[in-house]
Amino acid sequence: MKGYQFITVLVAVLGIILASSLSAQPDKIVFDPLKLFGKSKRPGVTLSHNRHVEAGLSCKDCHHVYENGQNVLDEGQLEEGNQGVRCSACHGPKVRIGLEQAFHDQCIGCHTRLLKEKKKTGPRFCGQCHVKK
Amino acid sequence: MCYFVQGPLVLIAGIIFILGLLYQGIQFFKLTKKKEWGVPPSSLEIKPQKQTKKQWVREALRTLNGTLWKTDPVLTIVTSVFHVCLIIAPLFLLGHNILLDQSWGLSLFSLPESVSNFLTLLVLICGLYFLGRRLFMARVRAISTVYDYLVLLIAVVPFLTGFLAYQQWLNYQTVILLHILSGELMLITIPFTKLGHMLFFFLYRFFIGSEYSFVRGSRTW
Ligand code: HEC
Ligand code: HEC
Ligand code: HEC
Ligand code: HEC
Ligand code: HEM
Ligand code: HEM
Repeated sequence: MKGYQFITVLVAVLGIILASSLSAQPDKIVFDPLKLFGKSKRPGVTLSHNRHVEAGLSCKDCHHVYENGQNVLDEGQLEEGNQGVRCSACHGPKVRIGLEQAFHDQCIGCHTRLLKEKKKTGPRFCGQCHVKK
Repeated sequence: MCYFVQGPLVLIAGIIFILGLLYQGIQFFKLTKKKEWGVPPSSLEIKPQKQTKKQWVREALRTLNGTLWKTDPVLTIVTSVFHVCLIIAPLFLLGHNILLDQSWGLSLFSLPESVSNFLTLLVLICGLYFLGRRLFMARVRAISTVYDYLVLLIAVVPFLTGFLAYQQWLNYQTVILLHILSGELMLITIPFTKLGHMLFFFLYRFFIGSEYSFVRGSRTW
């Protein structure tokens, strides 16, 4: 009987942990260039978190806090609504890598690298990300 | 297949384009190297007289009257607009420059996309004018061959597909693949078809011209 209760609790706890870690990141992020850049030359991009996590990427492949060239990000910080997660928190107009370049370097950079390695990859051409609705 | 077209073939096309033009340029000088006649003594040379600014302007206007500008001003304007846009639009295009930056870490200054799109539209309209001329003007039609149409097509299709891609009309995946293919086809064919005039125009116009004036014929044409 004790063992049975233990397993139920364990499953419940695991379930909560799993569910919370899954809900830590929203599935679909629809960017609004007007809010991000104050201009909108291209239609906003939709990023599917789940597609990328299911493809085997870790949160740290995209989210980072650098210290001495090391990514020391604490994944517990990755919560919906945390403004510090936003790329714009650090990549502003005064930084070497501006916001637009941060996005393009990360997104197109990885897709291009995987393409060269002939692995499953994402799009590289403008209209495949900036889809007109 | 898709990988080959958007990866290695871009590089291959670029290399063929540059090496092809180099080869044609070298051939041009090699084939004409032999001296055919002795250099005439400089006493025979007609020395240009010193001109005042006013004379120079009048002379320039007079020369202009003997050119296409006088016989066909519309064509002069169309072909000028066509060529300026044809060079500027793809070179200073944001889409090309971002990709170039991602692949090779180099990029040029980019025009606003609405401007590039407008220049592209101008190229297409001028291309249509060239096509119309060949189809409907009897004297142009008489000397047009399949080759002329083909070359015009090769030059214009990258702009048509680029335009469609920017507007995201039709199926984007197909259009962008066709765009890349047609762009590569254009780069590869430039050195070996009459599109090579982008090099030879300058050789014919200025080099051969100078052979008959400044350097006094040291090559065999
Ligand atoms: C393919 C790259 C990528 C991967 C992998 C990734 N993310 Fe993100 N994530 C982003 C981008 C881009 C944003 C948008 C940032 C912004 O709005 O500036 C984002 C935003 C977020 C946000 C903030 C959402 C909001 O609206 O407040 C959270 C939370 C988050 N990610 C959590 C995670 C977690 C947890 C993982 C790992 C399971 C993860 N991410 C994996 C790219 C990625
Ligand atoms: C806590 C601050 C911070 C946040 C948030 C942040 N970055 Fe960075 N990022 C940096 C720093 C610092 C560097 C290193 C800059 C340098 O080398 O000059 C960097 C470098 C980069 C680089 C260069 C390649 C690399 O990884 O070293 C890219 C691309 C990039 N960031 C994209 C992003 C994107 C996309 C986001 C949003 C998902 C983001 N960054 C969020 C601070 C941040
Ligand atoms: C570290 C590598 C990596 C980074 C960074 C990355 N991606 Fe991807 N992306 C992938 C892989 C791998 C796939 C293929 C996933 C699949 O097909 O299941 C993909 C697929 C996609 C797709 C097509 C999947 C779909 O939903 O149709 C889109 C769109 C996309 N990525 C957008 C983005 C954007 C926007 C960013 C930047 C915020 C980004 N990616 C950053 C690796 C990456
Ligand atoms: C892998 C996905 C991806 C590809 C491919 C991509 N971008 Fe972006 N781009 C983004 C993301 C993410 C942002 C930031 C969020 C947004 O604006 O939607 C962005 C932002 C922009 C912006 C600034 C925002 C605006 O609308 O003014 C411009 C301009 C832009 N991209 C142009 C291009 C052009 C041109 C190309 C073709 C070479 C291209 N992008 C290819 C993902 C991509
Ligand atoms: C060889 C490889 C090439 C690649 C990979 C390539 C790629 C692209 C891409 C991704 C776009 C943007 C499409 C969009 O906005 O969604 C584009 C647009 C365009 N391309 Fe290319 N291109 C290539 C060659 C060429 C060549 C050789 C020319 C012409 C000389 C050309 C002319 C254009 C023009 C004019 C546009 C923009 C049309 C517009 O904005 O209206 N491209 N190209
Ligand atoms: C770089 C310098 C270039 C110069 C100086 C130049 C010059 C010329 C001249 C003098 C003509 C003949 C006049 C006319 O038919 O209107 C012409 C025609 C033409 N050029 Fe160029 N050109 C250049 C580059 C290019 C390039 C890069 C392309 C495309 C790949 C191109 C495509 C064409 C086409 C298609 C025509 C013929 C139009 C027709 O009558 O069917 N040109 N060019």
